[in-house]
Amino acid sequence: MTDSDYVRVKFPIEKDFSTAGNASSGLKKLLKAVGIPPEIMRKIAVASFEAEINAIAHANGGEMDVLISPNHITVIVKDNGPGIPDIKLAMTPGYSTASEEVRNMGFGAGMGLPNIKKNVDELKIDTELGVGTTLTFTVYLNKKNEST
Amino acid sequence: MKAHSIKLIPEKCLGCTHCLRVCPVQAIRIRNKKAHINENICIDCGECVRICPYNAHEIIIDDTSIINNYSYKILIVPDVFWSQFPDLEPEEIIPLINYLGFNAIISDSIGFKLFEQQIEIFLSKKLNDNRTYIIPNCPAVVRLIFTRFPSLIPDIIPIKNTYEITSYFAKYYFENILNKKNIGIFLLSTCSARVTSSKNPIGEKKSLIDGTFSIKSFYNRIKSINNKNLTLDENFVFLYTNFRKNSILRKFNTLNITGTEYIIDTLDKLESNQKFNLKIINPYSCILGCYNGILNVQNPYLARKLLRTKKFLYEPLEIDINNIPFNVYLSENINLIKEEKNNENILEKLKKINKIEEIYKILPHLDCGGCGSPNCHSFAEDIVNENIDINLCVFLNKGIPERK
Repeated sequence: MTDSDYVRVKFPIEKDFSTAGNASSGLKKLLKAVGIPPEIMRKIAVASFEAEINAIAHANGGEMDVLISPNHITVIVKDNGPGIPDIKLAMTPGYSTASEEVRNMGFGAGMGLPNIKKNVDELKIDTELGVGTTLTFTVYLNKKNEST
Repeated sequence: MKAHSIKLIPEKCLGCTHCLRVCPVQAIRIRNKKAHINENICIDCGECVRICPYNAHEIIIDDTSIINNYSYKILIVPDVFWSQFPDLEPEEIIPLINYLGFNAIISDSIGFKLFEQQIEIFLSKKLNDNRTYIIPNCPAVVRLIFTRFPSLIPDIIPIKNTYEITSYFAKYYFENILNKKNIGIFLLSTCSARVTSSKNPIGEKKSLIDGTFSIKSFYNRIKSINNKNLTLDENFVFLYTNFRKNSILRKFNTLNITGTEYIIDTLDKLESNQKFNLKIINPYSCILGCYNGILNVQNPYLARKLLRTKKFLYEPLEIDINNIPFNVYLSENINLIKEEKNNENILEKLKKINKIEEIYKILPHLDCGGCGSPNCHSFAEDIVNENIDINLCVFLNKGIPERK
């Protein structure tokens, strides 16, 4: 793939619950402008929103790095938070380590990662305790292209 | 979504930026000193009509003479109409409407009652599906969803809007119960969106509404009638039903929301699955809903207050909701309605977006509207998509003024 075959856009994620959703909302706007089909747009909207909330609730925000190509959309959400000690546990629906404060704001229901997994074709979690977590997920625009 | 009721009158347009700024969907551009409305994304909300200081935006309504094509003329009157007149009671206004040539009035309360009852039936089968449904009664919002939030189209409850339902009921009642022939059904409209919808309803092949007039024009016509000794035709029919709007919707976890800006924000959240446990969203494009319709005359707060004092001297109609003699659901599958697609492939669009972002970087980010686009980002888009000259930017060449 050459450089001109994709667009790379970065959205900062601020540690601010009042603006939570801005990054994924910006991404969604872009996907609509490109003419990504609504069903696919919605999957990425849900997954990127959950990932954004995670970066705000568990870390000091971070960055959403998005690659859009005619075949697939890849979203990389990177934070410098505490890392995930047990990924399998974190993937369990309902399990959450969110603080009381975060839960009181309506987040931290333990559905973040499961919801991401449910909506994307590929999900990779790189995490190191005390260093941070990088979530990489991909949604294919045309399932036939998945293997190429 | 190309059919619209709002038209710009170039002779009256000064090319100022009022409408450019208030359009909630950024459908307006000023080019060659005149405003132009992008018919692909306009939702007919009427905000441009509301703000224009020069009355350059016009809402196309029908000529009142069209009622003469029918022998029995029925007027659908929204309840908010009565509250436009602080000084006149319905029993004083009804003979005046009769005098204007109408044989019958049917209140939108009938449509609302059937509409909400059908929604209750629809939702009773969907109580545990963890979805949030959208009430489709404001045509501007329905258009907004089609143009901007197509992923939410499956969440629209596919039921005819209250005015369409009222018109179907009118057709049934006057033709089958009262045996009237050659009936004409007309709508007194609160807003531009309803005018558009009565001509080109989304999800229906054709509307039963034969003509649409504005509340404002009827307000003026009624106020101009000098003959105070009019008597009401003894065969005049007035149909309404006792129904408090939103009373059924209240049984569900409903979010009533007015104002396009707030609706866009809410739909944006819905798209990301932020549902807040809501079962239904009941959105109206105008702040305060139809009390604030662009074709009304009264202050919407006063209108809402006044409406509570208006009483009808007629017996309300009892409607057997178990035997509705027509289909209340939309006749077409709205999920199959496809917008015309731009043929460019994703790659071409991505290249354009890269270009747009490059251009945006060098613009002043003051969003002044002087170039004729609503903000610097849309100007960058227009440069790339419409080949607009970047030198239209007033600050680019002269520099940004120092502010001390």
